[in-house]
Amino acid sequence: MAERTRVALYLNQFFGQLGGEEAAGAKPRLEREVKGPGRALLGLLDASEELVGTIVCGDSYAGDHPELAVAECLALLRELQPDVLLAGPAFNAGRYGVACGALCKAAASELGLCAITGMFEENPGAELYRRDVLIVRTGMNAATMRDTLATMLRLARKQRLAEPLGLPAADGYLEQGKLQPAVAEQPAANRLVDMLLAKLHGQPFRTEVPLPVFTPPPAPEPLDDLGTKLVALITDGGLVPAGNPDGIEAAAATKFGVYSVAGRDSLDSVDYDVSHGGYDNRYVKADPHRLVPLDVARELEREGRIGRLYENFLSTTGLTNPVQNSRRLGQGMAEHLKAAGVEAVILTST
Amino acid sequence: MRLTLEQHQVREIAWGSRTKLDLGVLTVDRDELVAELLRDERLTSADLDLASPGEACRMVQLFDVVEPRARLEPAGADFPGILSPVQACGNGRTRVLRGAAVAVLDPTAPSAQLGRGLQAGHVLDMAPEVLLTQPRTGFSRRLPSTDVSLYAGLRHVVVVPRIAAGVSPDGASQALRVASLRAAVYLAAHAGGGPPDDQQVLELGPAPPDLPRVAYVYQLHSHQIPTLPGEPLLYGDNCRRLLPTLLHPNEVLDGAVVRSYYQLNMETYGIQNNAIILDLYRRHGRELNFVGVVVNVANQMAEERERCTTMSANLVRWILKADGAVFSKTIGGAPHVDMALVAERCEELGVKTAMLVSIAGEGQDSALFNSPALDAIVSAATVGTVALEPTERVIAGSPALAEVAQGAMTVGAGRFVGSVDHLGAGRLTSARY
Repeated sequence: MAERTRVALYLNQFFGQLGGEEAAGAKPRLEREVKGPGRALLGLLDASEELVGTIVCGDSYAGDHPELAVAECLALLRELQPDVLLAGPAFNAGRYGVACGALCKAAASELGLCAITGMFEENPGAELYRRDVLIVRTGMNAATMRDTLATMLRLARKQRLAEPLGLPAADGYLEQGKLQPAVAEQPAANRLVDMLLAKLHGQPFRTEVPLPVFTPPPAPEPLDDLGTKLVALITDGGLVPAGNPDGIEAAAATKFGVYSVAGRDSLDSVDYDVSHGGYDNRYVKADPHRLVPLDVARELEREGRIGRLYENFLSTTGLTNPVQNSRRLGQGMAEHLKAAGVEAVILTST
Repeated sequence: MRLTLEQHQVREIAWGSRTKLDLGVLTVDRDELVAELLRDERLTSADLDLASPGEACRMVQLFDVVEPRARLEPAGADFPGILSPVQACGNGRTRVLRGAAVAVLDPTAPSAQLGRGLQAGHVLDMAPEVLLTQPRTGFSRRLPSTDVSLYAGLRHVVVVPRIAAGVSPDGASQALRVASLRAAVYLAAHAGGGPPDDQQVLELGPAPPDLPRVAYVYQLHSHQIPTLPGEPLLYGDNCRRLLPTLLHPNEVLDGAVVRSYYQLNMETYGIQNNAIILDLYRRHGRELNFVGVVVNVANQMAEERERCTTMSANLVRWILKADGAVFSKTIGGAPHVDMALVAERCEELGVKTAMLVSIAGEGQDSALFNSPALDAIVSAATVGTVALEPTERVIAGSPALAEVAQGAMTVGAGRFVGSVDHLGAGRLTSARY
């Protein structure tokens, strides 16, 4: 007979039967005995699978010492040598959800385990880990424990067989934000009119593109006197030195460039290219100042209306750039500028 | 306005001594077609070729795809403002050669890019299958080419116009535009007068009053790529300062509208067969009352955008008295804003909206709007790339490019012509896992 699939379970102090909140500080421990939901799990395992042990950890311990708790759990998992880790399900318990997500992510990346958890969609752990961890969609409380475990097990079997996952709604997991090519049954035009009619008739419909939620950054306080400040020029319009030495992508750039203008009063068009696929570049190529106004900035500097111009301009390409990536680029630019003592920025876009 | 499309099915295309359609076989007199194209003095010659579905054949540097159609009644009123004087279209009879297409290549396209290596531009591969991949997620799936592009299932007369020396870039683009339409009209006009296989009558007859009134807001172009002087979009006008206006859907289908020179993932073929208009027609009188088309453009300047979006929403709400509206846009990020602003204003005025977009690439949150009322969005684009195997025959503007493009190549899904159709004909989409 082939070797059986070794399944480990992760539970918090409550489901692991250590106690309630008073036991939430408990360090991770290995239980060979079947605990709590483990009994339901036993009834779902087939002859080729076995439950090899349960790790129980207090929610507060996991929350207060996240890295340590994960490391200790990983050590216990090394001892158990499972093939599969089922964590929770955590339903709507926040700390528990975060702990399950963190452990699954580490168990998959560091031990190569097939690691699956289950949560209510609004569990904070879901938002933190849904992109990296397969999270089975649950209700708010443990009423659906057995069904959830059955789904977690079913997905674990699928993954072990390297079968592709179905759509989130069909396979019962939280969307991981992965876009895959697909062929729809109906042309887009028909789906469009269907959706409008459903909306007009007050019937349910599902958008194919959930819109992002933007949290507007607070505007900084105005500067009292620009005449004493170090000012930098930034653009997301893709102005790069000729030949694009940093390979700034023409759409959704993943990096920004830092290009010197020290000692120069103007930008010569032969020295520059535009790496941006979203507008007619000819006008900027003919005169780069239309995008990066070094000429005017130097005038302002001479007139004392700005203190000094920073010796580099920063450039990237914004076109179709996802918010997360734009945020990362912005943070990188801000760090660079702060380190250089820049106090104000003129951002020119297209 | 009543348009009868007399539809002839083309099952085969071959060269012959006289251009005619007989029992589904379209024979084409090459010399006569070339002579027709060379009426334009900006062309020195035109190479012709054929490509059929399933063939190991690839076209690169594709400029546009046009369905062969000719106005029968009134005769000669083809593509008004471009091929014929500005005059009405959308009423009368038009012959359509179904299953056939004119594919026009732009041989001037790569020369400007030679410094960065030869670029194939927009590609259409006629192989039976292509591989759709998404490198980021490891997705890889073999699909019938016809699932990826509707143009892979058509029989093409491929035209490679040769532009005379000294013709300006604008003039060259215009010559390509004229050649595309002229070849398509020539084929249909000379296909002969046999009885059509089928007739489609397009007329917005009365609809029961209880059906929801639905308008279509159609963004013709985005001026982030400003149209050039003389670049025809609407009855020959370049729409540079277009204020929103109303069209009968038949005008769109019958030659009033063509695509800009710039690739916007809308081919003229897709406009002649605007899938949103055709679906609204299909449901007219049964599920909805199709009340008309508002055409507009995406603008570059804030004031232009305000004016255009305000007026568009007013036309939808107060002139067409619509209960709901569907929207399409051209490719690009900026056109999102114009489309969404009109939709947002419509929602404020009590008009329900649904929009067609092509969110691709990294995708997850590259929509440039997030108004809570805009909750009905269909995605007509796919993420990833199309991986093409080496092919036997390449139709390209130059032998050098033909040689390079013969090998295995990978193109972004948007550059495989027909894979993204902003007018909704395609079935490719992106599923969220």
